[in-house]
Amino acid sequence: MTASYSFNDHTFDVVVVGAGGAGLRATLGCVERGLKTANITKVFPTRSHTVAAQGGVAASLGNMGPDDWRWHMYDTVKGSDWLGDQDAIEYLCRHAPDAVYELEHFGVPFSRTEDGKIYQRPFGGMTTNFGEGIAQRTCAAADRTGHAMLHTLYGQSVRHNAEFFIEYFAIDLIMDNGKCVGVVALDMATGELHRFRSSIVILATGGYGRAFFSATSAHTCTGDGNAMVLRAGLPLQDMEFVQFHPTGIYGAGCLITEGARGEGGYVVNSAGERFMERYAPSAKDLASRDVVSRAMTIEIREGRGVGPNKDHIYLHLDHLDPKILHERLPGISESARIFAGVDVTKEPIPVLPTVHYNMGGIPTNYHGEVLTLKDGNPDTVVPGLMAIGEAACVSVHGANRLGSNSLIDLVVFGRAAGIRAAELLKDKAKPELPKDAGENSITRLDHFRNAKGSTPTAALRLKMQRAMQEDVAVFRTGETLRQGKKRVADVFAEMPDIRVSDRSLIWNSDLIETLEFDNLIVQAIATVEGAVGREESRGAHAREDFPNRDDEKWMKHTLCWVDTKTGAPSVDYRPVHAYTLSDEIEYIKPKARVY
Amino acid sequence: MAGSASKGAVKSATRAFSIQRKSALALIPLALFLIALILALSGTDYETARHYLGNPIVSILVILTILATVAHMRIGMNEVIEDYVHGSFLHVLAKTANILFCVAVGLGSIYAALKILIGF
Amino acid sequence: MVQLSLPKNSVPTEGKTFKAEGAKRVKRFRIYRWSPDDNQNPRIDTYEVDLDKCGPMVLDALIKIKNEIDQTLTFRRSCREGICGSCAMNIDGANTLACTKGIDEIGGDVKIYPLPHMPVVKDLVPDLTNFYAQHAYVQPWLQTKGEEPKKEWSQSPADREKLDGLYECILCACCSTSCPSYWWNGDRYLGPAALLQAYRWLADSRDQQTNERLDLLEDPFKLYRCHTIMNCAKACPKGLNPAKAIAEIKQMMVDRA
Repeated sequence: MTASYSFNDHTFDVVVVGAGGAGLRATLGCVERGLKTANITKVFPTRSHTVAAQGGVAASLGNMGPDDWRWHMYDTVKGSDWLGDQDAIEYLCRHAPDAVYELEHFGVPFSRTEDGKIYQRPFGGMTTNFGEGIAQRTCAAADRTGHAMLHTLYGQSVRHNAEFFIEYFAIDLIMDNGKCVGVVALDMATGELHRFRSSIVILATGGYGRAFFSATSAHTCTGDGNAMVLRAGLPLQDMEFVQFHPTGIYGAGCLITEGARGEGGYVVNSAGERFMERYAPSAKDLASRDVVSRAMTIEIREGRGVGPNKDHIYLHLDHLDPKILHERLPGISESARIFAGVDVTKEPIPVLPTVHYNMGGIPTNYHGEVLTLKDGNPDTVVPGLMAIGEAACVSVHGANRLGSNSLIDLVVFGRAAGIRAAELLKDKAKPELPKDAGENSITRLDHFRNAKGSTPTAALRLKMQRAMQEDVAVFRTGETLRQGKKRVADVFAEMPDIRVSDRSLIWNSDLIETLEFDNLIVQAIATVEGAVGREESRGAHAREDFPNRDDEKWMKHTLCWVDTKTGAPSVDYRPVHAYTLSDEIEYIKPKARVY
Repeated sequence: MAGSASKGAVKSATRAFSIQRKSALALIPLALFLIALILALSGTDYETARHYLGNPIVSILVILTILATVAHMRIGMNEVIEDYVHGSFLHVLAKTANILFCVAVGLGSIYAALKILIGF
Repeated sequence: MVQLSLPKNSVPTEGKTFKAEGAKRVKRFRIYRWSPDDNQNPRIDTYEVDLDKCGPMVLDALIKIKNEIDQTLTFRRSCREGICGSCAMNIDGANTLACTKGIDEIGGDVKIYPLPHMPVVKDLVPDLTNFYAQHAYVQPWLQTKGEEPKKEWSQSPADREKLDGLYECILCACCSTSCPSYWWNGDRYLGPAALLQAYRWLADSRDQQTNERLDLLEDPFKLYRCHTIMNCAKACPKGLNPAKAIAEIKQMMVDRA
């Protein structure tokens, strides 16, 4: 326990944590503007989970028919079940087309229309004329859009000589009187600690899908930035909103893109019925994800599931032209073959709603600056700290994200963060580090490195994942949520008994997984706490005991702080921004959400 | 990254590749010709063989075969050396020896063919 | 000269065996272990896994071993669906992704080694620094001349189709580390993965730096060490054919000469 640690010190204008789509786009933006920028990432950039995004990136280019960013905005507001901040949503939808053209100029190999333009496909909840027709708005590179984007953005970073710290695991922020002045990271290859002093830290650390047992998310999706924010004494926002993707492969949990339904696929129950016609008469299989996931869950629950245990649903693509499948959905055809043993041209794919995306995260404004509620001001900026991508809650996705709005979120707000960072750093001196800078990271690292309890990390993690999966599911009740809260709290109480077996400092993945689990558990606490508190149904948060949306009482963002020493959560609220950015579109008033 | 090779090597890499492919193509008919020639000459006496090899067409084809073979052999052996013989001294030595060997074999063979043809 | 046998301190020794008590369907996993900490030779540890309580893929078994049997086992993994390229390793004698390799595809013991001929950081984690530098060397970004259009560059579906089989590369390094030519000359030969990416940009109808890109590859080593051995195409877990791409580059070289 007497291990002495020393820091390798670095000074930068900006440190970006995470090298997925948002992190890379922000890094690029900062480097382009002449800021001395570091990017810290726990995996090589092209391994980030953006790589697994399939269907596409939404922008009203109008390549397939008339489109308008206002229509996109309307769909996003409606998809968010009016919990999204409309100023941020306007920013997203307005800047989306330029962001996509920029990606194309970077080299993304988008699929093409006959006249040489970017191909766009229909996606759930995307409509024309404020809900009237079906829009083709989702720009696609076959069904590997995320892969194409991430590799292209990485190439651009190489071009601009961005400085990467690859396989560095960020441990904690360095805070000084409520201001962020840097971050500490562990070089996994050597076990050395690195202390980064910087004027701005941008967290682009992604979601925390791995708090659940079955998620489309990668093993690395542990929301490390979210947890760092909690440990810094700042709140997370809207954590109760967890998106279940309707079509995760049954068993394996791997994603089958919504683009499969965009290209004409549909789901059926054991009677062979296209049941979505009953739940969403107009949009049918292309209703919003929360709607389809709930419909599937009800079908299974009422005994109309397929398979020997009647516990899943079939997704049919076998009626589609094999040529179309080959051209537009080659990746999922491969996934279905490998993980479900299914030939999509002949058989349906067994699917199940699977945890996919966290609408909640670090509260920010549309510049990417992190916000907190302080002295009654719900929009208090935390100096020196920004967040983007799935880690952030801007909030553009509100209570439910529309498919293909995530990839556009990454690049639009990644770009915005770069612009804002440059503005903020005009003639600004670098902050001095406080005397004890990084001590919190050393304490945390040393604690787990020497953890000599009797429960291996994996066992505790599994308990948490099971509790979240069973009690914070597609449908929730006060009872299941209270039970979930207790189960998660019990897991937290067992933390002192955790055991790390690998004592090495070289590529100690046992230690890293433990730090990640330590990150997950506090987010699990925040998620359940938000869900217990929110007594209404909105978007992805479906309470059977409160089946209706309650705008009177609940048109507000949940803020949740977690005392990471005791595991005790506390909740407060922020108002939803009921205004837009410009007068080119009026505030879209709440109404019933029917697809 | 390893340092880039000298500019001198720049053109020669593609040229070597090109010659290797072209000589391989040329050697398909030439090798067939050579086999046919050997079969035709096997069992004949020295004078007859010399007579056939003194035929201008045969002789020219033989010389072409020698040239293509030697060119192909030099590049092929050079590839093997570049693949497996590392370390600058040994590398240069092996490459030089390869060139000298190929030149010697080539010149010797062509001298012989010409001597039969012209009879000097 | 190239070294054909393992150096003394790299010869693996027999390691520990972890039994699966009471299991009915047992599969033995023989896994390469090495840590820089203890100055020992690498060893092969044997783990028995109960297939009735394990997912179908080799990665499922590795994770089960790490979770339940030996927490010190070290390997990279992330997406578990064959798109991130983290879990590339040598399984049953061939380079592939652990997450898409079914355990039932392997008869007998499952032998798992790190990607061949790379420096080992620990256990199944190779050092890929040089591999990434080679990828960066081919300038993997779109290069155009003149003013960019306000909207997208135009590209016909036929031109876009030329990128199929090229852009899908996940940089897992299975191909390069299966290539004997790369084993012998990995410091100077760019290897199939980097060259596949070089061709991905050469083949892009929007890119206008063809000559400059070819210049980057004009030397006896960077490109011409490919001897069409075809291990790359055989190893690629995404079914791509780097050897064909390399042949296309060579053709472009000859055509412009």
